[in-house]
Amino acid sequence: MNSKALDHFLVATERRAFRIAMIGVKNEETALDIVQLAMMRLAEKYGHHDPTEWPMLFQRILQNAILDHHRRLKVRRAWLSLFSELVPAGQDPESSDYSDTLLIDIADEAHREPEARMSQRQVQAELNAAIGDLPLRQQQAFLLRYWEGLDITQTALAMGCSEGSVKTHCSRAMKKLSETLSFLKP
Amino acid sequence: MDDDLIYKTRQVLEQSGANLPPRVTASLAAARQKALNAAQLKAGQPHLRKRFSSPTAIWGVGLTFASFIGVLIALNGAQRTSLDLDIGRIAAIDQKMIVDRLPVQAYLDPGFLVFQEEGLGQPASTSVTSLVNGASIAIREFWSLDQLFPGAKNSQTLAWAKLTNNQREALAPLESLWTTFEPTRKKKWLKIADRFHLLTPNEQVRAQERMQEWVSMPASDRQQARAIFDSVVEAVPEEVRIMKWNEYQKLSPAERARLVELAAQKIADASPTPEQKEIADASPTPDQKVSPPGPAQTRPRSALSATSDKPF
Repeated sequence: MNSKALDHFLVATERRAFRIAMIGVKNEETALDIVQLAMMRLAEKYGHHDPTEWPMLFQRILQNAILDHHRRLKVRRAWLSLFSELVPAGQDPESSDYSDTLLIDIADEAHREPEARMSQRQVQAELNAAIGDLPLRQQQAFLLRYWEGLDITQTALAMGCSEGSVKTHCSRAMKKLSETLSFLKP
Repeated sequence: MDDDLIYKTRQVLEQSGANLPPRVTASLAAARQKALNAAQLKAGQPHLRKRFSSPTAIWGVGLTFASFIGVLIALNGAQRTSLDLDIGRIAAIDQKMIVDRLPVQAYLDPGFLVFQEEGLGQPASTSVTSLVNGASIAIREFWSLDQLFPGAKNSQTLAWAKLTNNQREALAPLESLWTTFEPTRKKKWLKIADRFHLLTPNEQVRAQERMQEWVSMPASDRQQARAIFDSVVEAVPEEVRIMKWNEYQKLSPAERARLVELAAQKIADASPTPEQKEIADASPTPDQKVSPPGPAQTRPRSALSATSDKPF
């Protein structure tokens, strides 16, 4: 295994991976855990693979970890709904999972200056919110294709779906984002 | 529009990725290091788990290993038996040699051997040539196990302190040297010690006087003396040997030199032909060969000595 090459790859990838995980799970700690898990699995299981395979493999691990997180969340929510009557009104037991400090801070900032011209940070917040609002599969397809720069085949492999599904997810994501992010229009 | 949106989206995402809080970048760096360490740890381990993960593979490997161990044990057992026999035979020869009334040097003097043969009218195929042709080479096997498994035998059981009183008494002259002996050598001396009480008091004294001299001799000389002694001890009665030795001692230096030269000639005549030499050269190890002797003039005392210089 080439440790140096792997190190370079992880350095180049980790920040984007964190942002993708952050958008996917909306929690800093969870996003960091997911990125660490993806790094460990890549290094342990695929470290001896051809480095050209790493981007796709890493994204597949990352996306699966995000999906697993959502599946666990869904199960927890289903159980918690059974006890919803016992939970006092106004206290969301899941609130901690969604305490995305970055998004909340940015959103607060945006609320403080509603009339002002959108700063760079506000644009960032709007964009984060818009992508975060996308259905998970559309979110994944969009980020892998247009941020990670994977082609349709690689995206399909990373997402574990067909190329046709990738195209569909990307098309729907673009449509929704162009509606939401109308301020980006020239 | 799509391209522009994608471009701007990417730009924004890149910026947000570049402006991560220090706590996040530190956590990412730690995670990366952890992953690299785990990968290096895994790379350092042979792929045993993967290779032997299936039960069939484990059984296959186990059976192969068991068969291999079985063959090794059988071979080792056979070799050990052969070794014990060799130790016994060599111990018997050594015991006779150290109680023999002739000095050991007599059996290393080619001139005396020729003188003895001539006087007795024996053919030259007894002591000298039999040695050249490789008689008594069983001695060579004596080293095999010690060389293959150095320290494999438990030398603790052969420690001087653990010997019986009779053994210690018989081998008293060797006490200071005992720790330097190899296990096989110790075994040989213990066999001699166990038969020590069968010797007459005079023989016991002579044996103990000779012990240190015997062990201090070069291994090649010991092998040489053993081989020659073994070939003449049955053929020539002790009294006759003593008589011939006394006569040999009275010979002039010129006469002795002639005998030594004659011995060298006999050895040369009895040396293997090129074809025989080729066969001899193909034998397993150099230690197992008794090389043709050097010139008698240059090394009269041990003119027939083998090249092997291993202790024995």
